[in-house]
Amino acid sequence: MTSSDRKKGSLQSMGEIDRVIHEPARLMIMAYLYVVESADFLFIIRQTGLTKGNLSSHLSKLEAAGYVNIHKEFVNKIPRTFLSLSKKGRDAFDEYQRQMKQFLEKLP
Amino acid sequence: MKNSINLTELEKKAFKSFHEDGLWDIMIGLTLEIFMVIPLLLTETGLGDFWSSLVMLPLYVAIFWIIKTIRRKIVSPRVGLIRIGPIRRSKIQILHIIMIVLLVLGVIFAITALDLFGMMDKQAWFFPVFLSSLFLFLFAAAAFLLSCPRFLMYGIMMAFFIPAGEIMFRKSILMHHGFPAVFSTAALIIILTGMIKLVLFLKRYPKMATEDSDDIVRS
Repeated sequence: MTSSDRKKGSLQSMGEIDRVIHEPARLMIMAYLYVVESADFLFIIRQTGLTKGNLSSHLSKLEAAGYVNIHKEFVNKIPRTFLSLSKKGRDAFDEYQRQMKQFLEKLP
Repeated sequence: MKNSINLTELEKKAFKSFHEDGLWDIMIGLTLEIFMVIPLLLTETGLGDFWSSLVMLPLYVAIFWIIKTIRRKIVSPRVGLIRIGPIRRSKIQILHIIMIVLLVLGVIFAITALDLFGMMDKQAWFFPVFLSSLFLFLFAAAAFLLSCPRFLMYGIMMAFFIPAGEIMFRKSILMHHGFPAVFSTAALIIILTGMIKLVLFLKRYPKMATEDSDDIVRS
């Protein structure tokens, strides 16, 4: 296999990348949720700098893909929306990392 | 091209964002202030070591309650809440174990030192050296396990201050082995650092209106 074939192969593998995660804002959200057990809506807004509407939109897509669990609970009598990665989400993020690492390693 | 996400650094960032409010420093400083008061009680009231420490217990509880209230009422509404992951949780558990072990060692050594060397024995350098080492080790462990480098500076500061206080006591410049001066100076520095961090934190995270800070907009 020539180097151009290898390059073509690695570029084509990018087509298999999970596009739900691959969007920059959603990647940020997934990354933050990956490193903690759970975080509330406000924490993610603060860390990502996204607006409420923007974050809601991305969370809806992640929830629809089964990657994120969203639940409300009371903390000191105040309702809070908590976000956490599902098992499917963690596995998907691990796979995304593996694919990206593989792709980037093949680049010259 | 280095586009990989460093998850270790991201976890540190997330943890520090939640804890860089200066409240740890204020709590540590206020606790150190109590070490300044205890030696004074020994002479002013004639209370023994045990009762002097017991009298301080409600203060410890009050400090803890105040810090917790500030976190609940002021910090969390600005930065949000996280539940830390298993790795950080185990690091904090290790720190708790280290603190308990050092506390027990400190108590055992203090009792032993009183019997073997006597509090007023001017040749007894073991107690200040042990105390310095204890603080240095504790703060270094906290710096590493809580990803908070300035705690190491606090440990180094205490490791220098305690022997310095002992030297000034032996030259009859300070009383009570220099404890009031040493601990109150260190506490003041740490509390001021905490207060500066708290002010910077409050500026960085202004309070958001509740309707903007929570609740997902469902389309």
